[in-house]
Amino acid sequence: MDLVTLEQQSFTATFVAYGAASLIYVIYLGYKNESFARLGTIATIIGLITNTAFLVLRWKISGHAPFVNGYEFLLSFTWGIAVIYLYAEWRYRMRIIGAFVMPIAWFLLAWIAMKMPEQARYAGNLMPALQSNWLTIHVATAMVSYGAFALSCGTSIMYIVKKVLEDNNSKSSFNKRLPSLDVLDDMSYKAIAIGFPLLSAVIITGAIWAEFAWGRYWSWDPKETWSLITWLVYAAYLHARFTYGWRGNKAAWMSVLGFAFVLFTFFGVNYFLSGLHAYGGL
Amino acid sequence: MPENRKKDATGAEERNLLTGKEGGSETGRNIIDIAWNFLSSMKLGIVLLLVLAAASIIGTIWVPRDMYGQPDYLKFYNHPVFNIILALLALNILVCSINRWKLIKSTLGGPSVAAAENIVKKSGEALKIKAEPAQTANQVRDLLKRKGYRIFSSQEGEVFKIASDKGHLGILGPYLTHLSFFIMIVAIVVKFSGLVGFDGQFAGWEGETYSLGDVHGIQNVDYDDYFDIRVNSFRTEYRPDGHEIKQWFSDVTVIDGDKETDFSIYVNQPMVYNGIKFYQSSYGHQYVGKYSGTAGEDQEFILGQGGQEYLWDEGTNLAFVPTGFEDETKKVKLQIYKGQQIVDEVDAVINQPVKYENVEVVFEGVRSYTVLSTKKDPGVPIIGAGSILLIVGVVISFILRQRKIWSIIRPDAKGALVEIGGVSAKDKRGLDSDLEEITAALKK
Ligand code: HEM
Repeated sequence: MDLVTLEQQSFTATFVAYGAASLIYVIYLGYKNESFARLGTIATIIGLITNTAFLVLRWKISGHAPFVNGYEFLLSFTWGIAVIYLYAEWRYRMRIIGAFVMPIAWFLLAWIAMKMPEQARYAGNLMPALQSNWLTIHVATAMVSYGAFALSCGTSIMYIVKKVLEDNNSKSSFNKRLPSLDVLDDMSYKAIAIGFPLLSAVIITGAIWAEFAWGRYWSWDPKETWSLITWLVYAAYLHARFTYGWRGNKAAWMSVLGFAFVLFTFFGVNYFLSGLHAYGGL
Repeated sequence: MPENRKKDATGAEERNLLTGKEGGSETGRNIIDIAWNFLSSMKLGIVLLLVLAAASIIGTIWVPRDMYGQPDYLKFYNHPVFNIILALLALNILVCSINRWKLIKSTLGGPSVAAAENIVKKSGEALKIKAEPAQTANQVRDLLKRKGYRIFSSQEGEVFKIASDKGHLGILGPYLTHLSFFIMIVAIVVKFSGLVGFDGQFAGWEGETYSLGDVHGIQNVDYDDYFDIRVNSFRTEYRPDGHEIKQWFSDVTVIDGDKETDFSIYVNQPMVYNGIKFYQSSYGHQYVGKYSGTAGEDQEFILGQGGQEYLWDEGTNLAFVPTGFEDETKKVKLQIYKGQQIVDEVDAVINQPVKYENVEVVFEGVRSYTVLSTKKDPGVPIIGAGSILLIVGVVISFILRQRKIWSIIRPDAKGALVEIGGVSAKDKRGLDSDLEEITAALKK
């Protein structure tokens, strides 16, 4: 079997594995059975392995790090989510988080599968400006950072859900099985505490690359600007948290908002704003 | 100035005594005071962060255009209003940092033993231990030390008070981060003031020697630092498929007095000389040759720079458009059009004729020029230092989270009474688990 077929199959396998993991975790929300939930972990691990295989194969095929087109970015992003999620699951010994995090990875892949045209997926050559090790470091940091923000978003959604249930004095087993509000708040913050320094590094390595490629460490290009905006939103989160004591619900909403900005930086800029440029140029 | 000014919401930002300069009228001082308080408030900080974010968003949606209709982002982001927001943020950060200096000093100095009563009353837990107070105090100190706490204690008779903390250096994290942000804003403002450095452009033909004075837009460079540049060649390297460009190279020699130095400049590999950087930015070719068309006899042509864009044969309505030149194989990349329609793409080797319908074209020579963007920006090392400081600061503030534990040990009917409690702004859970472990160990 040639590498390209193998690569396509590793994409399919990743898609199926993350889908299975999401489904199992979601079912586990209402069906408390630990050995069943363990299947979710296994599916996630399998997905991570095939996801890694995809990236390695892509690297071999194209001869450069698989961080160049939207397809490769997405698979790097899902890789980051799976790694960070598995770390959190192991660290907190809680599989229930999976129901709120792994679907994010799966939706991203589903989105590619449905939306991305065939030719946008091909491994391409690097145009001269992209031939830089800084670019590799830049995207490698981004995927872990974004994975951490995805985890923070997932745990924040859990917080918001749990808060509603608590406020309604819910005695449901679902409510009982969600971690306590304190733990959720803490997890969500800790994930940002990992994501924020990395996001700072992402912006800085991007600036270093731009300085080498164009002689401009910062040129207010929309992608750059949106990464700065995302960073400012998380900086506001941290300040509100530590100086105003914005914890709990407000912090959770801010974390969800922050992740919406991450997603916009990731997709929106390319699909909305650069579209605007293309039309503007006509 | 009244000393009992209200503290910020958390009491974290203590008023700075530095501003309380003597002299000036009461109202004058009040204005300074009000301005200072305004500039040092965290509320302003958060509002500015969000305003900056909102303004940045607007700049990516409502994009100004230059005369060619290309997006010109800088027109928005260099606008004075945007710069005022940045400057206010920088000022806010600076004032905040000055204000916090006292807090930092006292944090680094360690928690105060005197605060013990208050804390253990508010957040403490009491344990009865069957042991001498002195012995118990030693045990508490030992447990804390083993967990990496710094210990400060006092003794009055048989009452021992212990203040302890760990992760106190974490408070330097935000301080460094804020300082770095301030430094970077200053570097950017200095750059846009136009007082240092420049952004320019240089275009040169192969084989020619140019002086630095030929650089378009050169400014703020000492005449003694001038040098000459000889453009040896400009090369385009194609990938094996012959279509995609792999890299552009400008081979140049810098002639500085008697000293000659060779450089190969390519994308992602600028040349730096005397603090001036040269980046591969663009290029062009001039093609010369002969063609014979429907009109019959040979005619000479010059295409590209200094000539027409393409060769057109009236009789056949064919157009020959050179789009590039591969140096290694000496091939001109040629597109052939019939009317508006592209009909063929060929590689024309130098001195070998290309024939299409009745038209024969021979390229005899290609000469290239390179366009380099040039710049001098003394702010770059400052931005670099600021970036490192930012990362160090952010990492420190997340890794080192201060936890403070106070304990009071006094004699009790059966031995000793230990009251223990603590605070941690950033790591309540870590603190709780430390307290749990310490009390568990004491109970044993
Ligand atoms: C873009 C601008 C800013 C950035 C990137 C920034 C960054 C940070 C970071 C990373 C932290 C540490 C958070 C943590 O430890 O979890 C922090 C804390 C803090 N910042 Fe900022 N900040 C900015 C602007 C400001 C401004 C304008 C002010 C003052 C008005 C301010 C005041 C503070 C304070 C009081 C803290 C809390 C320190 C502590 O918890 O020990 N910051 N900032």
